[in-house]
Amino acid sequence: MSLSRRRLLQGAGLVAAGGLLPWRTAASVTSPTRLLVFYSMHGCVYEGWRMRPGGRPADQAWDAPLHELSEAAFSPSLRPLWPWRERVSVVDGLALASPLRDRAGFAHTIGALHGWTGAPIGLSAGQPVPAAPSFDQLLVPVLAAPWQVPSLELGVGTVLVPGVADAHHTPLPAQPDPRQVWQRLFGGLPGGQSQALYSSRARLVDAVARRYEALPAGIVQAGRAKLDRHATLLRELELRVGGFADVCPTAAPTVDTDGSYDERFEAQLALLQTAFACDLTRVASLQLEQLPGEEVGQPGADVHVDFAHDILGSALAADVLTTHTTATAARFARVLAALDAVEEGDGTVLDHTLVVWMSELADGAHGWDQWPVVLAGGAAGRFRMGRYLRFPATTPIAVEPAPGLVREWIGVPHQRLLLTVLRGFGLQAGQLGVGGLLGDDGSVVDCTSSLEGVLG
Amino acid sequence: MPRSLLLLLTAACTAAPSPTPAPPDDPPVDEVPTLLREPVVTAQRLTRRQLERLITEVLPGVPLYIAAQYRDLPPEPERHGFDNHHEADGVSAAWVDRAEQIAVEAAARWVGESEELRGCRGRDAACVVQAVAGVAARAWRRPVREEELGWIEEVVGFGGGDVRAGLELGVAAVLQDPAFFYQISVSEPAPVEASRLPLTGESLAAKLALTLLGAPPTSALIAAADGLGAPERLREVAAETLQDARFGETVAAMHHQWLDLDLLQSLYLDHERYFPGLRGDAGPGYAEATGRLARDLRLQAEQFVTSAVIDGGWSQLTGGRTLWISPTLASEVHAGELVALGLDPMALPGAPFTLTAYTPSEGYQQVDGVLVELPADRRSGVFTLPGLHAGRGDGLRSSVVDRGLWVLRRALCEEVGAPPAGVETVLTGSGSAREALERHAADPSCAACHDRIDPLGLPWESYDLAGAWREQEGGVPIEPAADLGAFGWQVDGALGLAGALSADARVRACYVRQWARYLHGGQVDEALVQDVAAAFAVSGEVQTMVLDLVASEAFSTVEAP
Repeated sequence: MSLSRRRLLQGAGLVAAGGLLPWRTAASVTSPTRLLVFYSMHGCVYEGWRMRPGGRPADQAWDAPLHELSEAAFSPSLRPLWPWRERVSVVDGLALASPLRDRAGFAHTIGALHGWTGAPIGLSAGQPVPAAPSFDQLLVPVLAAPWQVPSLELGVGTVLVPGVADAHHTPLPAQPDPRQVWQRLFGGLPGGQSQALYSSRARLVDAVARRYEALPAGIVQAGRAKLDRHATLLRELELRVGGFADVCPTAAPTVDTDGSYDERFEAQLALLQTAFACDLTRVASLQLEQLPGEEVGQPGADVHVDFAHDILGSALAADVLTTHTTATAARFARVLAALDAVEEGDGTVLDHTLVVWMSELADGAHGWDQWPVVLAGGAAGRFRMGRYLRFPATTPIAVEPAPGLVREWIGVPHQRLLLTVLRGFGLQAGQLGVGGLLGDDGSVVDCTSSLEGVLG
Repeated sequence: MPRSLLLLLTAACTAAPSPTPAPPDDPPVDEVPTLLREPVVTAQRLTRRQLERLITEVLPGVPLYIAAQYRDLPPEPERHGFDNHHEADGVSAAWVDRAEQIAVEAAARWVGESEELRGCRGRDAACVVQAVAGVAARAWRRPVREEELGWIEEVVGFGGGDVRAGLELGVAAVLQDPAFFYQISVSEPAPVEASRLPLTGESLAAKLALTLLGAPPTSALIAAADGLGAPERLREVAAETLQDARFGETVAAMHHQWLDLDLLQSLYLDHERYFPGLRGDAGPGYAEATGRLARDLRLQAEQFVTSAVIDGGWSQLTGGRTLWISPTLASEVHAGELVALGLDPMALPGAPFTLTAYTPSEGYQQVDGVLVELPADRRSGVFTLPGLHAGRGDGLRSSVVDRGLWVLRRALCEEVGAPPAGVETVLTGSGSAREALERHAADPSCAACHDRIDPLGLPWESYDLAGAWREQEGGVPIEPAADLGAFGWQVDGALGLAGALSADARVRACYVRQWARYLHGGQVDEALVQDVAAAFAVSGEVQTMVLDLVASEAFSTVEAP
């Protein structure tokens, strides 16, 4: 069923006066653009993911339209996206190259931090920590208004390693409990309190913020920064505190973290759909724990422990992980459908959103090369859709994914795609994390230029 | 309003440190005047666990489910297993959003039933302001300053003169204040050349109370605040503070993190092996059964360590055998041991020993159990607690590596890096755990670390994934022997390893380091740890060791910027 934002808001009596929400300016009513990161685990089995339409070569750069392909011509892993072939673009030929030049560590951690931030990991008491903001957070000040929730991090299950970090490098773990997400967005008060308290929350937050702002100057730098940050967050909260429950009424989810995988996925997706439909946030991520064994035909199995690492040596493991990616693609398609079901301006919420599907690794065997990425939506034409973009391996860094299987060159550093995304939204960032990598041949590999063919 | 009444509450501690010393009566002509630096102020955010404990002290009688809401705040990233590291206390939008909601709900819930409301009913705003200031003094762990009363008056005024609304608003504001969320410590002025600056007595009293009791300073601590700058007095007052019953909760909280008992929250056990009466891990009853078991394993571990530390010391902590056993633990974990003692696991004798537990799904509950001294060939102290070994595995098989890593990192304080990128980290294939681990030894890329990890995990194979003693697994006898020569130990089995850990000076020193991490927010003073460890190696008195760490320069001073 198609949902109209106007209808949704009319239900709450909010569109009568020229269609404006009480706090929105006329400029912001024009369809907003958004970023959604769809994040899944274990990358893919490349042979089951990649496509070579018309037998195009892997060692050349090319750009092919997806709409010409039959469903059967889609790779097994991407086949669920065939109905969306004009609304997605596949980016083939990237690599998480910078981890290969960083210190060693738990691959999922290293990959998650590099993948989101583009930067080498930091260390605190020996623990890997984000040393830079994640790319999605850089877009918060570009896309979001101060009265909005700056970003939403939704989890289905507990993602092995959180990679999202705000402008101050504070990790933003995904919230796995749909009820908590609802509480944050729409939760009013449980009742029983005075009307004065209910109606004075913004004044109260203002009064509290003043206390942070008035703290003495003698606070040492680290503490000062924390308290200043707290004050800023309170000022942002002041603009939205208690507001969304009235303007965008939504029933609380019926599941919490005890629900089944799909119940939790659907609950989080419904919240995301509503948050976008009501324009409560413009930067979000939906981060998926690996699928349960039942989803890949292996009841009771743990995909990570039992199969993911064996994909290069076991046909069964490769099949299971391919199925895992296919089942994840089906959920990606569910996300696209949910966003496309909400009319907005001259199109739908999906039209005005860029959805980036990425992973913490290129593959389950802790590989860094052939990092799979799918883009969707296009953010109102800022990004080209309906394309299959192939970039040949041009980075002179050798990898040996399996004993004796040496590749002298790997794909394009992923920072270039993420920078292209930032630039597509108008953020003219010079580099993301690292600007260049030392190749095995002594050359410097560029990590800063935009990827050709991605922007609209 | 009668501010004098309020100031009586605060007068003892409102005197700010003098920015400059009083001039000497008769200074020598050639003496170089001492230059003083401005006081240094530090701020460290309280963790969600600290806030959950503190709120029950700030709002006496507040429903415990309200206190538990602080668990909903985004979790602090851990460092060495502890959540209170000074570099990991940043806030995010999600944190601030949720904290506001909790403050508002807590205020509304508490005010409705509070004596403060009853006391102010029918009276003027001054009464409300005074009541809120009383809450603030507890929440902020220090007296309320005169200038802060104006702010409280303003917030209370949002209620338009309504007593209940004024109280709600005032309390909700107090619970979002920086003085509530942050431990703000102020130093005395000190000579510019000083590398460390002593904290004011007021700051030190608040820090002692929060660190040792999870609470605001007691009246005794407030009264003693001015003298805490003297090391002997600090030690004396800290020793008195340790006698407070709430220190037991701190002991439990510290060991909860050291033992990594949070793992029990996701306890997963193969239903066919551990719950054969249930139809599957997705069937009715499974979540309840594992949840009940996890709850009782945690309660048992926390009760044991608290009792051992408060009533005994290192020898009891690492050698005690008296465990709290609930009906669930009796049937799922200790049945064999109880039968060996001639006891019926289904009807344990003894006076009920009731513990309080909280789970998100069931709230707070009273759980009955009894204390039983278990056989010496099955249990011996903290390293043999079922809760330490339960859940370390994949649901079916226990993980030698996980258990060995815990010992290496948490009991020996060795830094173990993650596996190198690209190294296969999961052993697959058939065969016993021991056979699989032999591949670690054969592969040089694995052996570099696993030569130290695996021998520390193998002896615990005598405990299954629920923490129960076992002699065999799947019909194959357990072989708990391990070559621990690299550590200087010639012992066999779980009890042998537990004994070796108990006797080893490195383990005692590591235990001291873990306490230092916990008490000092991750800022470990190496020299202090070594000194305290040397004394602890001789005494084995845990409370004295804690006292040594607290009555120290590392605790009572701040580093000059």
